[in-house]
Amino acid sequence: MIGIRNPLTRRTAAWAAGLGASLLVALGAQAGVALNAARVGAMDVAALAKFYEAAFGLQEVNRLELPGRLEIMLNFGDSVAAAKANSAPQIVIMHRDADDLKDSVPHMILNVTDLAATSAAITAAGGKIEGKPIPFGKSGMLIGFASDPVGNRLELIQQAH
Amino acid sequence: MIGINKTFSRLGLAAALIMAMNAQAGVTLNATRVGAADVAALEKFYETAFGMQEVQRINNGLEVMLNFGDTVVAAKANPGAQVVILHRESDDQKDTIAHVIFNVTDIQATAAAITAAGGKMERAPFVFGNTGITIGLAVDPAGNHIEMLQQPKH
Repeated sequence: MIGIRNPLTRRTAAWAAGLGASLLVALGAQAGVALNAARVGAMDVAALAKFYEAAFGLQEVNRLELPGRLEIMLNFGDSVAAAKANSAPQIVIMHRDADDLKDSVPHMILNVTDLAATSAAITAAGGKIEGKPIPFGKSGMLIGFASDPVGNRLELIQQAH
Repeated sequence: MIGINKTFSRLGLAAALIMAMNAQAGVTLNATRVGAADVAALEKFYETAFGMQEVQRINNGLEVMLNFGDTVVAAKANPGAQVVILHRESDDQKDTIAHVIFNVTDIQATAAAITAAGGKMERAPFVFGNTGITIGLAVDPAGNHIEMLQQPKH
């Protein structure tokens, strides 16, 4: 995961941006290690990026165009510029040779404020919802599961209102 | 993955800033997750190699949540995205995607810590082109691929 086109945009920003980034780095600075991103795979990286943009409002903030090995970095923001300035961990889509992995682990977990609306957006964008949302005990939280169009499993958490 | 300790009401200034930055469509990144047949053993690896702390566990330890912090209390108060370890029946996976990417400030020290904690470096850290960014690729004891990024030193 390396930056050929605009390579330092996001990662350098994490260290050079303002108060928000400083706080993030301070909060995650144990032993000099912090979370940079969560990554999923796809044979067709560009197509899957469109899904994440459509379903979750993510913006492309960087892409690496190695021969046959496209990688796209996404983050949240009202605009591309805002997403590029967002120092929070990214979502990265990396090329893989096959989408037929039997991987049941949802590698990406998203906070959502409206699980029903997000579920509808996932379906509209080409993903699938796996069952009905599950209340977690008496916490008031709702948990949803979905898969993106190439089979990466996702978990959605809606906090109690 | 249940963020009981991550309700909005308990978040301070940093969390408010993060939420403000991530508020697009009401969706934000909560965590990245890896799998392990032995969740407790893999948890020890992430604690030892990366200094993470357990902030929550559910389902009798079949799923644990980790985050960064000088103490468990600090880690629990950290609103940043977590690393979650979920039980799976087998570690015999053919998944080569590094689902977890860490920023590191000393990649050699982190590589040594990974090895000491039972992980494996897939290749020695290398500098990518003329960017000054150093990249490390590793595998945790359960076979999950991990990537490390070290920014250029200024």
